[in-house]
Amino acid sequence: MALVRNWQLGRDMSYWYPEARPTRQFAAVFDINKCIACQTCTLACKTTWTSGRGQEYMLWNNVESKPYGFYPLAWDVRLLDMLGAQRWEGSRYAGRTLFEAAPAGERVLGWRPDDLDYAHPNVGEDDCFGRIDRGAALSLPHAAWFFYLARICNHCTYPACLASCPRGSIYKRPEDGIVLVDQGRCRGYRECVKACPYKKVFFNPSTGTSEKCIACYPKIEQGEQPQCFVNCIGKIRLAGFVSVPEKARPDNPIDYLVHVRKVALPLFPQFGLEPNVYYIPPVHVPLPYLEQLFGPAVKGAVETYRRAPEDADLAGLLALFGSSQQVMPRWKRLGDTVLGLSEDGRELVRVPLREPVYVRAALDSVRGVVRTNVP
Amino acid sequence: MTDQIAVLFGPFGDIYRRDRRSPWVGEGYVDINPDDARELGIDDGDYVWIDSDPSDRPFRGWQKDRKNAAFSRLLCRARYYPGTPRGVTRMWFNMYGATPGSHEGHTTRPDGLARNPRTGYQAMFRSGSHQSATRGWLKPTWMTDSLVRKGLFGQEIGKGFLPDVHCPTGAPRESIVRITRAEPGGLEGKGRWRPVELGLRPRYESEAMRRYLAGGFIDAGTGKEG
Amino acid sequence: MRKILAALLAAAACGCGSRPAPPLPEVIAFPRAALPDGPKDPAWTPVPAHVASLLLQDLVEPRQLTATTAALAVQAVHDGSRLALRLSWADPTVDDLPGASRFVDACAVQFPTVVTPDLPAPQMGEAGRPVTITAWRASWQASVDGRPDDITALYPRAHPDHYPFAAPSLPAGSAAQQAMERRYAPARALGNVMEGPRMSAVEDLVADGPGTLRTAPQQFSRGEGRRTADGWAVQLVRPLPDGVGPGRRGAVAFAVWEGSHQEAGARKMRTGWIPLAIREGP
Repeated sequence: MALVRNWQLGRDMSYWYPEARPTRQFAAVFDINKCIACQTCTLACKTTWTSGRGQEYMLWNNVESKPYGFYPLAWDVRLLDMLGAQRWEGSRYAGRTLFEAAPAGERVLGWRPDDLDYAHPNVGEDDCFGRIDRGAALSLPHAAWFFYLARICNHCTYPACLASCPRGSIYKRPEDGIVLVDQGRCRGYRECVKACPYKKVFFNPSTGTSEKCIACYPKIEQGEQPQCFVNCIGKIRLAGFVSVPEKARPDNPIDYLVHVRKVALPLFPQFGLEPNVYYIPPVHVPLPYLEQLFGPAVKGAVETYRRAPEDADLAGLLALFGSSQQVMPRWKRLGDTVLGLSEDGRELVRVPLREPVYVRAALDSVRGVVRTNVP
Repeated sequence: MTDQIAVLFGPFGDIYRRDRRSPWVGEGYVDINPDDARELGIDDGDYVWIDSDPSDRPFRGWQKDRKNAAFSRLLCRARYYPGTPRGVTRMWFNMYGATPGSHEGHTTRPDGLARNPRTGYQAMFRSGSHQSATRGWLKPTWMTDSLVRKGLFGQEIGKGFLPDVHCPTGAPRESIVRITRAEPGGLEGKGRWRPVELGLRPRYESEAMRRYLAGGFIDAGTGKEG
Repeated sequence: MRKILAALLAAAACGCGSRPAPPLPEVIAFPRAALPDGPKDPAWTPVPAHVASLLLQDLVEPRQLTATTAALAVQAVHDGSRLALRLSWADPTVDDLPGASRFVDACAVQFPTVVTPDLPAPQMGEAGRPVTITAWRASWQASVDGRPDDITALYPRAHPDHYPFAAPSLPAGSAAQQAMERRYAPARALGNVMEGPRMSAVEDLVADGPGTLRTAPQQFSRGEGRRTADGWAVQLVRPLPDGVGPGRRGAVAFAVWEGSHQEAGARKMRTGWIPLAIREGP
């Protein structure tokens, strides 16, 4: 057992292994406000990686509606109930992490899903909290609300899966912090399945080993964003690398959103894993639920995001989402143009701050006909 | 639609089809206001019959044609949907409806898959479809094989049957219906649908779920907000 | 406990009408001209058993804190070069079907790899003092008995539309088809077949401390497990351990996993070291 620093908690905490941060940490920002739950990401991952025997039920990437959706069933509400109510004191977490709350004989507070908990992966789709009565109208925040939460493995800095494996079959790559299950070493004990709070390790009953999201590491190694990122219709995702707060660079897109503007937040930071997928929270959802998911910085994040139309830098960076197959470790805005850059400053892509709008005349004067809106 | 998309279509998907009654890995369902459902004695996840004016639906003369009535009466899952006002239910219109062949598969295969044994057509309903409750409008002046018309794609001019011309156009949208409980939603017809039993569904929330909805597992020290 | 012991003795005796022999204080391997064919072979009936009380594995995390299987009956015979063990225990549920959250019944026997005055730590040995383990799994047995390598064997109503390696463009059994199949089963591509098609229901392993378990370079054991009236009986056959021949003494330990209690790895019931005597005989 060691004492490690978890910047998301604003304090040190216990972890099974000593602090050993990778050279670069793979990270992502997902803008929840743009997700339409088309599930293209889910299918992109599935057709790439989990189309084998025993993998049929696995959704390394999934999109669930909140608050009534879960995959597997009850994954978050059950763990929150086990952990009990906890609290923050400002930006410092005053509660217990899953490691600190581990019961006797265990390294992590966790639970095993039942086989049946993997059924109904899209339960709760579009189910709103609250009622829609005749004549209902909505203001912000919505009285009747739901949103879509797209989830992959968070490639945590302090993975519960890694800590829980008695054989050390899970490792975190030193070059990019991607967390992987060694398929040659795993013997299918499924301590990782029990320990991961996000339930993003899955047992393959056909091979007898456990499998998980690999952050499309062969693509990352070639400077390309993962499958679920580049196939996203809504362009809600951006892949990159996150730094610890004191090393944050404003010209690093992830650092800018997470550390500089504080508009992208980790999912369930209170569990203590320092997850590395960061979410821009949905602006229409009441704060208590959001604080339970993302911590106390949610209020500021929502306010910042709502001012984005007047914030050229923030709006500009958001325009880079979904603009390139390549990972963009750097970025900058030049007036009304936003550039995605390589590590050494080469231009990878450029996008306009605002999409140009062209209005075509209804009358085609050459042919003397009125254009109608049919294909 | 492949199975991996179908399993995400609505809340009832199960890629391993652990409930034998399920026509496929995903299935048809009706969105119903929870209070309406409660008054009708229907639990979330139950199978329900949806019937419309019996004078001509699911088809004229169905009372005397048992065989075809069997495959065409609408049987689907009920889904508690808080997002609809009282009195208004809704159903997707693009799910693969039941056919005589799919119904044969569903009732004769040991695994209960609603798949036509000869053509492989896969239905998302055990029987019926939303069309069981609606009327189609045909265009009688075009119902001839000698009609000259443009092809579906491109610019070819031809004659004879073409789906976009000879089939009912548009999807008939609305109907007054009666919804009655058919079978319990629990696995193999016993008890309630599992997410209901786990206290995760609207109107069935467990204490933990209610706390979760209110954000009660975290005190962020920000006071009453939102 | 007495009821369980009596039941185990009855199971050990195959209920074949003969009176069960009194239990032994340690594991004794009796000399025989020929080894039994399998756990149901009537030749086992007159062989006395050592009934070991099973302990919680509460030495290393994750720890087993709730006791499940209470006792294990062990019978042993040898033919001068090979040792046959018959392990039997009560288990009302048949757990031989792996699933996303389904665990399977299993048992294992452990010997010190090298005979030394001090025994290795009983929980998987220790650095410098390895142990040799032979493990049997109910799901491996099912595979050997003919369970197909198909998802419908695990989930009977599964009906996947498509696997990339089942595409019509890849002739079945061709190099390209097999490569595609391995691509979607990286564990199998690495030769790590924890579930799936097996030639044997047992595996020989070595370990030198918790978390170090690995497949042994040589596979020298055979094994077969069968259901009994109230549980499992597993016969394991392996060469007599080095240095533990006829007339010699050694040590042996056992472990049992109850699938319905989600036991795997360190979550198990086990014994400490039990003395093992190889009887000399005609």
